Amino acid sequence: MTGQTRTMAFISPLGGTGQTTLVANLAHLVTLRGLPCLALDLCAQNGLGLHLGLTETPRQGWVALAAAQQWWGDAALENSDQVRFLPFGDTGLAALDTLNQTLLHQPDWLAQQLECLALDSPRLILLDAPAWPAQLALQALRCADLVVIALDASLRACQARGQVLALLAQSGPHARHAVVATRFDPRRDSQRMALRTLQDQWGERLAPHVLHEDESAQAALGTSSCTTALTPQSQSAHDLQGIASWLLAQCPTLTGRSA
Amino acid sequence: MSLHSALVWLATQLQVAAPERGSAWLIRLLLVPPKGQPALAIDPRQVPDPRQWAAKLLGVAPHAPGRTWLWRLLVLPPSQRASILQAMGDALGAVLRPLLSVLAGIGKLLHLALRVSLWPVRMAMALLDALAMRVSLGNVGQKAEQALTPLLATPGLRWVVLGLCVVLGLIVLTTPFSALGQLFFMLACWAVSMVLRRQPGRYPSIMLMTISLITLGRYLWWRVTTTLEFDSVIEAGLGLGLLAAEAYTWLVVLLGFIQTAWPLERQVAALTNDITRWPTVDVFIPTYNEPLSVLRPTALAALAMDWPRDKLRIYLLDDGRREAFREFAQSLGINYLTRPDNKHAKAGNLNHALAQTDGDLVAIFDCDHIPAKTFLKTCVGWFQRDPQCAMLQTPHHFFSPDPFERNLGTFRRVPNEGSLFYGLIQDGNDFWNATFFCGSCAVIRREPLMEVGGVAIETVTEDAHTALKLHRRGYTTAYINQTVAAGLATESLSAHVGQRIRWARGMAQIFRLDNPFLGKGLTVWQRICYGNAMLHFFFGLPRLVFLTAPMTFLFFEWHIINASAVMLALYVLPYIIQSNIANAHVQGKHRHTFWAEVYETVLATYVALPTTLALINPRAGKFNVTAKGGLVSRSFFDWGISAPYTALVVLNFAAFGIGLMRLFFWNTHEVPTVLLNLVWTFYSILILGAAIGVASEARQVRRTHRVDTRLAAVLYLDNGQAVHCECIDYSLTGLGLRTAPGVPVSTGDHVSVSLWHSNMEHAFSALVILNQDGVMGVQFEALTRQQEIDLVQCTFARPDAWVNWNQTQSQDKPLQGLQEISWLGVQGYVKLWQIILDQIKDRVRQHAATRAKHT
Repeated sequence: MTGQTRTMAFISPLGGTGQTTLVANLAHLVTLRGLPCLALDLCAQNGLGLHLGLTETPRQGWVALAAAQQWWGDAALENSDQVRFLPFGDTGLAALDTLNQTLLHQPDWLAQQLECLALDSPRLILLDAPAWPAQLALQALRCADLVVIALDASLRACQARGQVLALLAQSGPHARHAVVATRFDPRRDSQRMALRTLQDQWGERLAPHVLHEDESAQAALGTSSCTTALTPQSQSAHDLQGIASWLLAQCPTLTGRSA
Repeated sequence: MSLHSALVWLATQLQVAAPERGSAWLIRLLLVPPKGQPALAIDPRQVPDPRQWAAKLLGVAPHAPGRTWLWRLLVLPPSQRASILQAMGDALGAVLRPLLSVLAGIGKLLHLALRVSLWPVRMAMALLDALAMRVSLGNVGQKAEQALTPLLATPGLRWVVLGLCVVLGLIVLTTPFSALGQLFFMLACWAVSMVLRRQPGRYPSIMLMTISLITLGRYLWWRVTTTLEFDSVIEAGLGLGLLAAEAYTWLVVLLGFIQTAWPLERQVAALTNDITRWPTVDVFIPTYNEPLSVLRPTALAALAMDWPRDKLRIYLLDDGRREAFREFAQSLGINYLTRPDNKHAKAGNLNHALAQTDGDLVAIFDCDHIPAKTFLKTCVGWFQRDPQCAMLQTPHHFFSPDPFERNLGTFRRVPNEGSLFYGLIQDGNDFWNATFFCGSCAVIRREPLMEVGGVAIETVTEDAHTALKLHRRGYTTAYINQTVAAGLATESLSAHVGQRIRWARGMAQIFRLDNPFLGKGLTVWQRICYGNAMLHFFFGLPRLVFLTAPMTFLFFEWHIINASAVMLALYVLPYIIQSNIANAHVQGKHRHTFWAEVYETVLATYVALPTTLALINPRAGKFNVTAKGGLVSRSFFDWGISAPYTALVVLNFAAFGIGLMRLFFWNTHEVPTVLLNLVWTFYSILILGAAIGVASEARQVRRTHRVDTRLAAVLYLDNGQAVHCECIDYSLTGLGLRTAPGVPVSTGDHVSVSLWHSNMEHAFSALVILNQDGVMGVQFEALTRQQEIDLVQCTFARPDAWVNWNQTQSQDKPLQGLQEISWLGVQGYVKLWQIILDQIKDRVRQHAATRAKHT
């Protein structure tokens, strides 16, 4: 396997923007396009696996292993579509505390861990980071080649511009930035206005495809899979295809075999 | 004595053994009964009663009054009609079928003979094509131009060369040839043009035109010098009439070549960067009697045009003075103008508005022409670049089929009438700075317009006349062949014909009142362009002459061309063939050979009279509005409109029949002459058949016209699902969508559909009215004004809405076109036959129904 490993970090100052859905679908699509990839669940909700074939939140995760000073990659799972991901795990408070201490004392901890993972040869690492600001989110931000901000098309997202800019200021010097508008419903005037504002605010950095609010995504979650796998004819699947292509194009060295 | 007793007596006399059987009668008619046999006593009951039989057959009571018998003889009883018609049809079929198969056999033989005799022609064509592949004249023209331009700059040399060309030309045109010589000349011209026609570009076009003009000139010279000796005054009169009609076509061919010699193909000029210096634009939408539903999209699209808000004013000019229109205008925030009278119709309406407004530029849209968002940005640049530019025209594009296209089924396949004008002629005019103003989808600079007294009011084609006046003042005009507006075509044939009559009359009026060949201010080329445009509309009389000319010989044996048929063919064929080859090369994309014949034939009888009258008295006649947006609700045959050419059809068939008699019995001493006239008549019959096909109006299914397209769309279901789909057609009332199979939607569901424009998605609530195999039809529900504007923006007014509309049209293939026209001609007659049958049936049915009601 040639080429560098690239890291995309998905971060948002807002919750409920459909970020985990985005990451899961992206992992699915990227793998489908023949690009080895690994999705990392950095959120304590531990929900990423539910989009990728697990019927309940996984007990075993990387946090517990890391707290026990073990190789965290041992927690990785692979589903029947060969999508690989590392769940957060059902973690006790003690393990979380240990993790937080580690993160506080080692600002490069996540970066080092990812470097070790890179030896395992995924070409793309997707980080589903917790809501900003959090230690883990900050570390994810620093190791990202591409920072992806998911913003739902709403007034609060328009008002969060300052926070997003502050967040992006913390990213690495060579990191590129992308914004994805999500949960869009054109039937609502407020949302269309918000989207227009986001287009004005972010210009070229906003993905040309907007992720629509779509019941298909919930339906897919109900069957432990992601929209792009279950209902490819749905609008959200269509949007995600477009978003995936666009995001991959934002990492110039990355091209899937059939992308 | 009744019929029955007569029959009984006859049976007794003949000694028919079993009178109820027909065969027994036959035997007795031929064979005498054996001698010595006792005489049979015939029982009257054994003998069938013809009255009973006839009564049963006709469906009347045997003792009904004579009136009923007579009626039943002509009109069938309702119950039996169908079956008897069927039986009659069967009987007819039994007779016709063998006849037809014999005819088909003859046809096959003829076809074979034709194939065999045409074999050398096809071989020659293949050879010449092969040669054309090897020869490349691609840049010979340019090189020649480069080499010659400095040479021709020498003063006087141009005239010397021109004089030489004229002398050479005259020699070529006037040298008499024997039949053989002319045959070789014809073959040589043909061979050269067969090679040239494969060469793309304009220089080969001009060479083909030149060859065509040479053959035309030779024919002309020969025709005028050798064929005008007549035996009688009437032949002389008719012969000269035919010559005049031919002279008209020669002139049109010549002027047409000049007009389209070098299409300019002007590109869009960029606007200046400084928006504050962009001109203010008044948009005029004149209307008189069109329904609001037609106006609505136009007004909405005008409102959405991409132009600084403070520099764009939209005016609705309502000559109908309708309250609903005023309210509509008010609700949109556009200006509403009316005037006390309707003097000078549309021209007067525009002039009235001009007096009330003050924008730098005036954009005019007929109320059924929907402008694209980019209209002004496309057009205004040239006004900035060229300060003398007074008018810029864009094409009129129709997204609904005109009556010709609908009734012949050629929509989007064969270029229509307008295609030649907007695709080629206007581009050609533009080169000579003679672009015509066409009344709509155009921008005019106010100052020059006011200088010529506003829109011209002297004629019913105010648009062309206005442009002529501007040109006389030395202003320039421009034409951009980009479809940035689209509208509805006329609905019915009668409306279409009415519109063409108006154009023809208006052109004839201008020809008389402000003749472009006279007066000052125009270049010779502008005069030619205008002259040709006007002459074009005088095609009516010549066309009628050509449709009837062979009859003078076939009916009356008058010889109106004093020449042998062979010589005539040798001179006229090269002219026809060469001008068709040249035209196919020049106009191939925009007009298909022979189709114009059909258009002209349909219109000829209508146009002939108004143009003639307008020539005599140009001030008579007023403006009539073309009705649009209607619906031909059931198929019907427009007898009123087709009466003249139905008469021509009957005459031509009669002439053809008589011609056959002449061929085989009466005029065997001049077979070639008869044959020539027969072929001519046969061609007329075919073209007339296609014209008949145009007159039988096909039924329209939808009231609003849907425009085929391919746009991304999203379908929002009630359960929160958003389904990706493709919009395959649109209208202002609904959409056609294609989805993946298995979308949980059924007819009657309420959904939302969204489309995009300028990077924003717009959702419209709609009702599902059709859902079949992944194709879905939805109808919009309760759109707000803003949504209506958005909808127009997402559909009709998209900048790229009409970009590739002519991609489905094929390149002209003259021979194939001839075949297609012939086939349409045959179909026309089949349609006519069916329609006549249907109408007779209808009459009978109605009659029976009314009788049933009375009894």
